Amino acid sequence: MPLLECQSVSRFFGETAVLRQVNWRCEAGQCLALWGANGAGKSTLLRILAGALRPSLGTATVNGAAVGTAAARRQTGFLSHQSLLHPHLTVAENLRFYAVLHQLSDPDAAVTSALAQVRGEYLAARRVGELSQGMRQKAALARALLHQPRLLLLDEPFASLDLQTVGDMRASLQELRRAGLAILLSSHNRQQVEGLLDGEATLERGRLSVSLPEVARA
Amino acid sequence: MGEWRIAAAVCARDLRIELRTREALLAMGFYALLVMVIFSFAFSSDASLTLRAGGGLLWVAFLFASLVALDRAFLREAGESSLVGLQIAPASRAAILAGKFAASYAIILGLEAILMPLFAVLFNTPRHADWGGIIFTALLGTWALAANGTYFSAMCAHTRQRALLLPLLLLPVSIPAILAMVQATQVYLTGEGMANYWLQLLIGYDVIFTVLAWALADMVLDIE
Repeated sequence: MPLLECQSVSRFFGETAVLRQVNWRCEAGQCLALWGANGAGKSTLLRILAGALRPSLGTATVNGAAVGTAAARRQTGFLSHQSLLHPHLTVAENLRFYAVLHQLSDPDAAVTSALAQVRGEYLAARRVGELSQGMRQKAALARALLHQPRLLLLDEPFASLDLQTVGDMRASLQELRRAGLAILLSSHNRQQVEGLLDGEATLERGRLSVSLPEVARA
Repeated sequence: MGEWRIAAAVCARDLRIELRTREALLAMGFYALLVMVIFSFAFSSDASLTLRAGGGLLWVAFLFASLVALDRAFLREAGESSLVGLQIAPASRAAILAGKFAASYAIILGLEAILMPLFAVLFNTPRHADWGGIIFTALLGTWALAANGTYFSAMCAHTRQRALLLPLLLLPVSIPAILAMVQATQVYLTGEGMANYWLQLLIGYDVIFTVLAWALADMVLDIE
């Protein structure tokens, strides 16, 4: 059974079709990229897979659980354009709060471990509103990894980051991939994800128009 | 047990944010103070009028202040889309809403605790006024406003006209509770009449609307 499977996923906003009949599959330990111009539907697809948006038609499952259910949410980590962290709280306070929402048995240990995974221990006591874009992105990645998901969804993870931070993020993603996490990321810059990918697809006007390598093909 | 833990975490987080930013507290305090001071100018020469209208005056100030606090309950999540973070977490919607309710309830009660002595001074309330009864009415009445208001605040969270829509939805539904709060407060201020009927109405209202908000939480915090 694939870790992630999309079957004929479509999404409409009013009468506008943003996604049309998307079929996709991802196995554990794979890192797949999703390309596409602005407005192609990349963020919409990732939001559907994260359970933040409902598909209008079709189904998507994470390890057999329909996306949007608590079972799928427990196995999915999502890094969006925004950090989803409250700017007036420190990184540790934000992460601890999410650890409780995920009903983790030891929230403090989970926070320490997630920050260590992204090499962001020094961020713990800093307020999110005072962080640079790169630091905020690291904190957001720690939030997405807090509950040890099996699928990581990254919506343009390298956008607005300097070279040093991109290098740090790439190193973190390599480690996660080696640890068996399935990673699905959207990006505009092929150079930044070079050497990370096991497969790729392109969204064009809501259709997944480029076939993936055999291992990732639906 | 898990749901209570989540509700407590949401409540503690909202209170911490409010204590750091003081956004709701300052706006609420300003509104309530303005209403009380202006009415005190108008009624200063007529003590009997103050006595007759006291319940209404007090609750006009509390109601305006509550609207500000309830509007902030979900506006607080707008920056960095932290509402999406709540929605994609595998946590019970009812627990999240309960946490939001508890934080709003605590914030409004905190302000009321400051305003009540001020009301007593500005309006020269009679010595025989039953302040225990007034405080009990405030606990029940604020519960009604916070339970409904948190629910409608969640409903309006994604709308552009949120600030207008919240009072439009909340006030008509709250009319029975507002009537009971004003009448019970009036009885305790003047010492005339029986407050039991109004308190029973408030308790019934609180139970019904709390259960409804709990049962329908999935609908307002669900994804699009």
